This record gives sequence, structure tokens and C-alpha cells, in this order.
Amino acid sequence: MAEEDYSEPEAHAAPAPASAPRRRSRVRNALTGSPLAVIGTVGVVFFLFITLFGPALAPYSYDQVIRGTDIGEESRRALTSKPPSPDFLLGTDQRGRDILSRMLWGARETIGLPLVATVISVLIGSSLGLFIGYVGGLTDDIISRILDSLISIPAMVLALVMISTIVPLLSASDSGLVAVLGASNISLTTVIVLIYVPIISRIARSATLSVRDRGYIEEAKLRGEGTGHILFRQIMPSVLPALVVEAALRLSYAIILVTSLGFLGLGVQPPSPEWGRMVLDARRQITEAPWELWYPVAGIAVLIISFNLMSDGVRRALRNEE
Amino acid sequence: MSDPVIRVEELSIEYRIGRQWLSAVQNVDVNIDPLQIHGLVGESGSGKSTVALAMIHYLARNARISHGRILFDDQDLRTTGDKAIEAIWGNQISLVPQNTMDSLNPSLRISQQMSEVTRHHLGLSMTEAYERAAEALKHVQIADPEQVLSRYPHQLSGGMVQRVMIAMALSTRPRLVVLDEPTTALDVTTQAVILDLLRDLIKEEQAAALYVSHDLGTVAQLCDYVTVLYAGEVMESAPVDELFAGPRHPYTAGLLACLPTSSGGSESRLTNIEGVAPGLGARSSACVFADRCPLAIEACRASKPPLENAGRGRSVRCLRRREIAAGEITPFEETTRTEDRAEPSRSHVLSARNVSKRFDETRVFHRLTGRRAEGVQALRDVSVRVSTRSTFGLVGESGSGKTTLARSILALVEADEGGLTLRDKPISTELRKRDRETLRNLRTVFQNPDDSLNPHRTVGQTIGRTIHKLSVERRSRSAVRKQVEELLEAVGLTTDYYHRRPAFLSGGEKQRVAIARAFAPKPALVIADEPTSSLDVSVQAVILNLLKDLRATEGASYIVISHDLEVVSYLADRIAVMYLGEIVEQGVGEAVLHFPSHPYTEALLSAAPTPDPAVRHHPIVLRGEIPSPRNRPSGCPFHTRCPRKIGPVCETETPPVRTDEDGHEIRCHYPLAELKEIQEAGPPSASGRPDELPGSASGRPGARPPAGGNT
Repeated sequence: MAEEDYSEPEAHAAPAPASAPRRRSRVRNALTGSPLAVIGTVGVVFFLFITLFGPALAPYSYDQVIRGTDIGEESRRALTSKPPSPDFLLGTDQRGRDILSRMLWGARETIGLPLVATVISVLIGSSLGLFIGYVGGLTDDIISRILDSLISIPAMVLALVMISTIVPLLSASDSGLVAVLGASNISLTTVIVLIYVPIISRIARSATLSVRDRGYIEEAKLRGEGTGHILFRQIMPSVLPALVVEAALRLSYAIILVTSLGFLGLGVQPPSPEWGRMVLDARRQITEAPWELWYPVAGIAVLIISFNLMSDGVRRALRNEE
Repeated sequence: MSDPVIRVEELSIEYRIGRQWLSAVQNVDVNIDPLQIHGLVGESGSGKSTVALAMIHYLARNARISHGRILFDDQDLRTTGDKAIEAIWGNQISLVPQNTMDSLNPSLRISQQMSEVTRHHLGLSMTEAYERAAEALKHVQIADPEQVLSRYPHQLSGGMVQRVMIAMALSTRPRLVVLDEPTTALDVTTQAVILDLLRDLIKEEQAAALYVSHDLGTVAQLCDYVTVLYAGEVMESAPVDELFAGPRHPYTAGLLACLPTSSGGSESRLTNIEGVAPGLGARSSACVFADRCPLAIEACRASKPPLENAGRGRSVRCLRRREIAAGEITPFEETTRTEDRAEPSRSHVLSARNVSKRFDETRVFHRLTGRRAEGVQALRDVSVRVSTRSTFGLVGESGSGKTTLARSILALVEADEGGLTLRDKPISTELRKRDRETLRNLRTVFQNPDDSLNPHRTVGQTIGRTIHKLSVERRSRSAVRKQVEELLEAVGLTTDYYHRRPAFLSGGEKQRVAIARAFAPKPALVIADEPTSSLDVSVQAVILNLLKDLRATEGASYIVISHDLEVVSYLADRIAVMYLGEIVEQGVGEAVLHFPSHPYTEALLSAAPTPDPAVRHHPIVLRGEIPSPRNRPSGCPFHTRCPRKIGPVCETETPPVRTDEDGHEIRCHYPLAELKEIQEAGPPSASGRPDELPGSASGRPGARPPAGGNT
């Protein structure tokens, strides 16, 4: 047959760019689409930076009690509750430790731990959600009901119960892993993963349901693709936007959870300088040394707001794309 | 002739897309005289709905009228205030929308919604409004108005809801009714009844109507006057007889020529209008059709031709209209080309024997309690055989089981009973148990091109992956790419498409990619489920031709599924007609289209709107609605609606399959000779009985079974 019968006129090719928008520009658009998103992104980048390099930048160690001799004074007395000064930019706490150094070190527990826990939750939760959404039937029914019942337990209650059972167990064991990571870090991560996996898999599942019966999925089955290819190559790209938004949101909740537990004295254990714990410690000195309280509180607030602004930007950009 | 009811003068409408205003409609004139049904025809994107929405003062937020007037009783609707519009809108101008289910509030009873209109506009009391509503429903031939009034929208079938909408639109005795594709969502037999009803009612109410549609067949059957839009401009407007008898604009001629007709037979080829309609931002300042017009001359690309009066109430926007009128030039040859093709062989590429499928709604709860939920028997003992290098057509209305049959063959659903053989080797009904060769030989083209391609993968990835998975020999990356490019060219696309994602393709292009993907591993049989139903007519012609060409070059066989008899008969050598999960008639294409036919096929044939106003057809009105497969009538499944019903025998006994010497099978109690005799004598007399309320329409357990049906 004459092929020119079907050729398209140039006119049509012109308005449609030859290639789809690059993924990079989509991400850039999501992060810098609005002034608020820019502020959020800048904040998040700043906090991630200090999470990674904070310990290296810190003038002192997080548990070093600073004595007069350290700054060239005669006295060996610990410099407790000093207000901010050129020597100690954010002052010292009631035991004489440098607050700036503690903040910089503490970013690891405050940001790093929730980040790791959230990433683990997203990996497990999205795989599980994709799987049960795609397979459906009895498997989906049973797993979904279990996940639903986990979701129905308030997060804080679950956290308290878990910590009070896991920490003693872990501390009793003499595993090397526990020694390296610390019993409280492991238990906190486990708690976050347990709370978040059901929530994230529910999101992934419902996003999967909306594409599961599309023609292109059936076509993939008809050419003999395995479940893995269908889940991760065919369905995942459609589910990803919803997951990214959810992950960003979950991360800021995880930070709140960790700092809240720290404030209750149940989170990361001293002398680790987690910011929630710092608030707890500083609370007693609120009248004599209010700066001890300011910095961790401000740190937590700005951190949460930054993450929220950024995830909001991402969500809006994805919605505009649709 | 008295003054027009509504006059649209030089109307131009723009849409804001991003930061710029793009022209969607330019200088459109439409005058509708009293008692006239005015057809507004065009393909998607032609601006027909925009014009209709402007008339009812209901443009989208990002639209503005940049020029022109809409005069209703010498009052310009553009400048009329909201309060004054309220007096006109719904009262003097009313709308029958396309998607009727969306237009009714699902949580209010029909009575409330219908009386709201008359109470608001005519100030009737509750009781008066209720009576008016009942009366209006009787008018649209609903036998039991009280029953319908007491129901909620979801309890009614599509056809019934469309009647309610029509009754509602007419209940204020409007002077203008705007019908926005009122039958596109309906089955052919229902469509025929609704169109019949509309024509009579509009005349009876002394109203005028604007009928917006892409379907030339229904326009020919319903309208008095037609305006053809293309890329936001009027190409031609003329009285319906004139237009269909001798189109003067090349676009109109092309549209008419590319409709498949059953008379063409499976050896012919359709006319193609090359290219695609220009998008919103890409419209030429010269003749908008010049790029696709076979008659375009230099002057056509230089300036915009005026819309000129061509006598006898018609006007045409074409520089060469005189030559066309004189018959000196013809834009699109209507003569269909016959082509050589290999005779279908006597061997069978696929046969399905006694396939049955039942869908049960079992949830965990039912499994635990051991209770069996109500099921739907989607297929009942269906046997088909597809000859090598032939096309097998499956026809039926929604719910007939045609898609389930296709999916059972593809093993996307697992048949409960029955066996499949591919090239005389039995194959599994379970997809997981099928080997690579079976997968390679059974390929499909899906109905909706928008969801058959993964939006996240490029055309090259999509087709390449199929080659990688299914081709006989392993190929290198570059060999696969080369093959993809060859396939793209074979379906009429250029190799530039390799890196494109589906979002940047038009519907027709997506469907071509899907076809290329289906043919990629050189299959023995391709199943196409409504391959053109979501495409425009001109694109449909291109796709149908492409399917035909590929059959010749690739030597594949097809199963083509469609609700549209014309499409099926254009492609198919053999046709099967399905009703309620059973094949009621099967035979060579020609034979099925001629008498004797199963009474259901007869009704389908009579319901298909002919794109020729000279052939006013009188559809055989089928009573009631298609029964729910949950309550399949006993005996012959069609007896509840059959206009040729013999008597109690139809209700109690399963009709025999009657076969003539050519292998034409009809499942009917009538002997073939007798059936032929009575069908040639003329259509069955209308039962005179208006439609009863279909209890089965809601399809829920506990709903009233359809008349006479019990299992």
C-alpha cells in the first residue's frame, strides 16, 4: 500500500514537541514552582547539609563538658548555662556543653533517623501496596484488613508499647548490631516503619487499583511479562507521584514523632543530642537560661515547616501536570 | 418563512490556554427557523459543542466571545444579564446533554428533579408540577410514569434516563432545544427509538432544535438543515437533502465518502482524508482545510475563502465550489477500489468450542460463609471458528458478551468451560499456562487508545519490548530498533515517533502504535475490540484501511468486535451476532446482512442510521430493554423483545440452530424459508405498546424481572 496515504502533515508535528518533558525539569518545577516551595526547598537542603556534615563542622563534641581551660581561662570549672557569646555562638547548657555543637550533632538523630525509617517504610510499603493492589482477591482482602487494623491503633500508643517492649529486649541481647546502632535507634526505626508501612501501602494500593485494569497492563500480561516487570516497570511510574508526596509528608510526621518521643524521654537516649530531648532537658532551666530552649524548638519548627512547604510544592506541581 | 428562533451572527469564541487566547470558533453563522431541526456536524475539536454551549450561555470559564452576536428574539444573549438569562435558560431554551447520568442528581428521585424545573420556571405548585412531569413522561412513551417518577436515576437504564431528560427539556415548552450528542452513549436499537421519538416530539411541540453530532447517519435521519464545521469555521451549510445528495465542500464530500457502508463489502477500500485537523493554535489564516484538501490550489493557501451563498438555501466556503457543483472536479473519489487478496483458506486458525463464562461476585464474606453470590452468565456455550487469513466479525449491543468472548480467547478472563485450539493445537484457557508461541500468535488491539499505551513509556520502548519478549529469534538492540522503525512506517507513522510519549500523540496515532505493537511479533490472529469506536470518522476510515492492508501484507487473521454493523461488515468475511451471551446468528458477511436473519439481527440492521436522508428508515422498535444477564429469559433469550415471536414455544423451548447449505446459522423457531418470506414481506408491525419500565435495568437482585422472563 502507498505509505503516503497515512503520512501526517507537518502542521501537526509542529505544536507537539518531539520529546516528552524531561524528568529533571518536572522535578525542578516541583521544587521551585512557587516562592513558598523555594523557601521549603532551601530549608530542606540546609537541614540535609547539616545532617551530613554537622559533626564535622561542630566546634566541640556533643558530650564534651566545656571547662574554663578550653577557652583559655584559669578555672577548670565547667562553663554551665552561658548565654550566647563569640565563644559559644548559641551558648552552653546546664551541664556546660556547647549548644551549637549539640544541635549540629543532633541533626543526625532528628533528621537522619526519620529519613532512614521513612525510606525503609516507602520501600516496603510501596512494594506491598503494589503487590496486593495488583494481585487483588483473597490475598488483598486479608492483607488489607491486617493493615487497616494496624492503622486504627493511634501512632503514639503503638510507639509507647513498642518501645517499652523492644528496648529492654534489645538491650538484653549482646548482638553486635545493637551495639553499633544503639537499642533506641533500632527500636525507633522499627516503630516508624511499623506505623508507616500500612499507610504507605494503602496509598500505593489505591493508586495501583486505578491503573491495574488499563489496556497497557493487560497488554503486558499478554506478552508474557512477569509480575515484577508489571509492578515496577509498568505500574510504578504511575504510582510514584502519589508516593513521593506521601513520603515527604510522612517524613515530617516522623520527625515530629521522634522529637515528641525524645521530649517524653522515650526516644533517642542521652547523651545523644536529639532535639526533642534537648527541649526536655532545657525545660527545667526555662527562666535562668531560656536560650537553651529556643534553639532546639526553633530548629524543630523550621525543619517541619520546610518539609511541609516542599511537599506542598511537589503536590501542587504534580496536580498541575494532570 | 417566519423569523429565525435564534440567530448566531459572526460568532467567534476564544479559549485561554496558558497565557494566550486561542481562537476556537471563527465567524460562525447559524440561523434556526421555527420547527427546524438544525444539525451541527463536525469532528472532535471542530468547535460544535462550543457553539452549542454559547447558545445556552454556558461557555467554560476560560472561554470568551470575542466577536459576533447571538440573537434570541432580537435580544443579544451576550449582553443579557444573569437574571434575564434565567428567564430564558431552561424555560425557552433547554438542553438535552450527552452524558445524561451525570446530569441527574443521583440522590434525588426523578419526580423531584422533574418538578423542580416546572416549579422554578413556570411557577407551578407541587401537585401541578408532579402531574406535568407524569404527563411529560407519557409523552416520551413511558408506559408507567408514576413508577419512573418514584425512582432514582441509577435504577433506570441509559435509554430510560435519556427519555427522562428529553421529557424534562420539553416540559417547559421551550422554543429551542439544544441536543448535544444525545444518543452517543446508547446502543443502536435504543438510539433508533430515541431519534424517532425526538423527531416526532419536536415537531409536535412546535419547537426548533439544534442537534450537535459527529454522526452523519443520525444527522441524515433527524435533521432538516445541516451546518458542517471544521476547525472552528463553517465549511458548508445546506438543507439536509441537498447536502447529502451533492456535497459542495471537499471536506463534506470526504466525510461522506469515508463512512463504511455494508454495501461496499469486504473487498473494498474507504476513502481517506489525509492528515489531521489543525489544533487550536495551529490554524491557518487561509483556508483551514487546504492542507488536507486534494483540490487545493495556490489561491486556497493565500487567503481565506468567503462563505458564499450557493443558492437554494445553501452556502459554501470554497473557492472551487462552482467547479465542484458543475461536476468538473470531484474531491474524493467515492468509487471504492477493489483489491486482490488471498482467499481465506479452509483451515482454521482458531476455534473455540462451547465456551461458557460466569462472573460471580464472591468476596471474602461469601467465601467464609459458603454463600454463593448472584452471578452473571456472560457467555453461554459459544462456539466460533476463524478461518486462516480471514476476518471474523462479532456484533452485539452492550452486555451481549462479545468482549467477554474476546477476553476468554486471549485468556484475560479464564473460561469456565470449553476448549480453544490455535492452528489445530489445543491451548490453555489460563494465561499463565500459555507458552511463548501462543502469546506471539494471539495479539490484540484494545478499544481505547488512551489507555492501551503506557503514558510513561515511549513508542519505541512499547513496541521494542514486545519484539524483545515475543519474537522468534533473539535480536540485538539495534535490530529491534530497526524493526520498530519498519513497523512505524508500516502503520503510516514516521520514525520520529520512536521517542515520543503517548501524551504527544493524537487518538488515531495512538491506535496506529497499538496496531504496530499488535503486529510486531508477526501473529497469526489479531483480536480488535472496537478498534475505532473512540475515533473520529475520518480517522476511523484510515484505521480500517490500515487493518485491511496489514491483513494483506502480514497474512494475519482478525476477530473484529464492534457494535457497529457497518464497521464489521466492512472488514469481516464472516459475522456472528451475539445477544445475551449467545450467538444467535452466524454466517458469511453478505448472508448475515440479508434475509433471512435472526429477528434480532433484523432489528439491528433496521436501527443503524443510514447516512442518506432519502432513505428515511423506520426502525423496528424493540420493546423494553435488553434483559439483565442475571435474569436470562427462558427458551429463546430474545423472546421478551422479539417482534416476530411465534408464541409460547419461544418462551419455553430453546430454539434450534437452523443451518442452510452455505453454513449460515440462525437460532430461531422459524424455519429459514419461512423466516425469509415474512421478513421480505416487510417489517413487523409496531406493537403499539409503549415501553414498559424495565425492572431488570438496574440489574440488582430483587429488581422486577423483565416482562415474561423468569428462569
